[in-house]
Amino acid sequence: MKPINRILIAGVLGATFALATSVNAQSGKEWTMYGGDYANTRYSSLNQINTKNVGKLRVAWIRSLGSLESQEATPVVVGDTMYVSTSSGPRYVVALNAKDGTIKWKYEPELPRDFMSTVCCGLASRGVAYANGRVFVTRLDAKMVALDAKTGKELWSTTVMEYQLGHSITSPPLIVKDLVVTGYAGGEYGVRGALQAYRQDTGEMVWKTHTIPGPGEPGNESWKGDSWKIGGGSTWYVGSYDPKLNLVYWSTSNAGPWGGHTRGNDSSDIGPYTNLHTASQLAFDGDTGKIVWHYQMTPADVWDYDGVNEAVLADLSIGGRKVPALMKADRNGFFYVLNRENGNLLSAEPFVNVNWAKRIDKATGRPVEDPAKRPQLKKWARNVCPNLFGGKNWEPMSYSLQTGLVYIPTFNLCMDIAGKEEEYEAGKFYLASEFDLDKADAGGHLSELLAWNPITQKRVWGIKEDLPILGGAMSTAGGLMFYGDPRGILKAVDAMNGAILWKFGVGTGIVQSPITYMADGKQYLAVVAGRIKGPPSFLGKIGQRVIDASAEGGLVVAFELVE
Amino acid sequence: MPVLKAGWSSLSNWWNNRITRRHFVTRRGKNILAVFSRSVRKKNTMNPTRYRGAIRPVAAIVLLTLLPFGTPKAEQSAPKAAVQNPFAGRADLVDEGRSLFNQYCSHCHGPNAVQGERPRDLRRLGIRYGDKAPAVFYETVSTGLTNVGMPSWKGVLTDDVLWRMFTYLQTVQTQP
Repeated sequence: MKPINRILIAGVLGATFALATSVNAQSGKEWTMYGGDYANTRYSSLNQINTKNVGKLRVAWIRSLGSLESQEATPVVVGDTMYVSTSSGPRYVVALNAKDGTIKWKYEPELPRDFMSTVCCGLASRGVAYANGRVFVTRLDAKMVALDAKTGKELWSTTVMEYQLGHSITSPPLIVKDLVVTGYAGGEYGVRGALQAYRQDTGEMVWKTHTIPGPGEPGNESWKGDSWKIGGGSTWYVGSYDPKLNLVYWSTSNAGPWGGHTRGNDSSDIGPYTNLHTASQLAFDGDTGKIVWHYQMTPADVWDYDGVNEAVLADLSIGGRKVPALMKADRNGFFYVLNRENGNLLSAEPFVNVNWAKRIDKATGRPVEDPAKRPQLKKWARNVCPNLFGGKNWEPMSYSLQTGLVYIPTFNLCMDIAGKEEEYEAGKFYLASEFDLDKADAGGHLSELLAWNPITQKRVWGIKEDLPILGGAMSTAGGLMFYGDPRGILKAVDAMNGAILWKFGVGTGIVQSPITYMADGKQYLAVVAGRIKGPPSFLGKIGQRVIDASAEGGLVVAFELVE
Repeated sequence: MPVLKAGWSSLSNWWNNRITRRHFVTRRGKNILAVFSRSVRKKNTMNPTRYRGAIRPVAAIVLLTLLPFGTPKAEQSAPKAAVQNPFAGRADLVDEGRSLFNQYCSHCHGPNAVQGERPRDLRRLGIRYGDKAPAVFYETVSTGLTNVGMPSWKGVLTDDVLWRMFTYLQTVQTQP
């Protein structure tokens, strides 16, 4: 094929993809938000670094973040500035020169000494949001602040919730027109989840919508007694946004406490007690916060199949027509494709080994449970797969507009779990559950980076790993997919076939996906690294291997092509 | 004033030679708390359980027990090593203790106390704190170490539950 034809075909293909997915294609020269674009694809249209030359990637610069513990941030790059938040509060938010890593400013929040004791699973901060010259920072003491993007000076600060009652914020907010929208964590502390929107210029709250309906609202009858007041359904991860539909997609955590006898029938015969809207995908009106539609993945959850995983938006060709789709690799092990206009189920198939449910009933959208795998009060369910880390946890997947595949960091773990009696006390950890997660599933691997076709709902290829908790994925128009592992090895993979083309050890475990951006005409790859600390404790001996795989740290490492 | 100083020194030496230890005793009535002291004379050290010294009021301390902090003060000032597991050696409580531990503690301290972060490793309480381990355990779980993430469990876990957990932990201690 002549080069000119190749370019022509590439151009036509590129245009087709750009048209097909109006919600994507934001991540070009910059990386302006957590998931790369409003669709959370983590796909970049840059292709200077590609399958041909990726072997020539070398370190361009390194910056120490100044905190230890789990570094889970995705940096945001706007213009030539990179904004990164560190773990432990965040302890710092820094603005770096994206070309050489030199520091422009540093913000160090004032945090109360006791904020750590109401954070369940590691002192994470997954990054910041940027809009109109302001940087929005959410914190583990459940505050949100706005900073001047040029100077780092604090413009306003607001208390989203009281941290002493078990609320905290671990993920960046979402920019929706002139609002900044945030959720909060606390599903293990008996909180009642909500999504809250604030004016970007003043910090004044514009709307607040509880995920669990109150008395008189539809759905409140799905709770036994007063259990709705402390029923979880927190909003601790990130949202997606479709500007055309003006819908904000946010999903909700597990029901609380994990032990389900407190809030329903304690049986696979759920009856009315589905516990809305926990473990659900929700669509909110961007202006009013009203819930436009909901889809519950795990009714009457007792497995901690926390439903917060990111919604990835794409327009897919299904059955000969273009469908505005929402994709979700849920913790419960099923890969869901919904119509994002109305929440209708298009397909749902297991992407890992699932034994708690036989399938998802296409008519009702509900899982068909195996009653033996539902834990009850003082009754163990043994060898339930996946375990409560899920088929996938928060570590993000990527949808490549070039290959049409989704790249999913998955787990291969099972569990024993039982309900236990426990009294609720405000601000205290509240699970009412006993569990053993130190159980590998068959196959000899503990995780797999999986390439998945969302239209056929079939596995295409996978890279099996001997340690769990892989970093998130990113894909590019250079035919590449990148991910990191608990040893701190960053890998570049051929997105078509899974061949590993390049790898580099950054020295401490990687939990988040890398990003890519352009500065002065040159494409950079950057990754935040810092081995995870909290969640491995759940995993006993398996977790011990994750801890032993690398030292704690806190780094941003940027790479460039060197001839 | 060298003379006075010498005089005091002689007096205190005499007292120290005479007394091996001072033992404070509290007597609580309905509305008063009185503190007495017993002294043990040196010649009695061969038989330390037998107190020869007369009980005498050291100070006229009369506290209104209407003040709620009045009484626990005496308990708090007890030496830490004296805190002991009331269920020590109770093999019949180990399984229940393990279950309670896994319910309340395993998300940070690992299922069956197995996890990889040494500062959180409760299999090393014995190595780390020796005979003070029960006291350190009790104090830490009750009041928390909130600046490193350990919450206070007071009001959630009763002493009974705490010591059942500890009875389990005593069976999984790493040997030095």
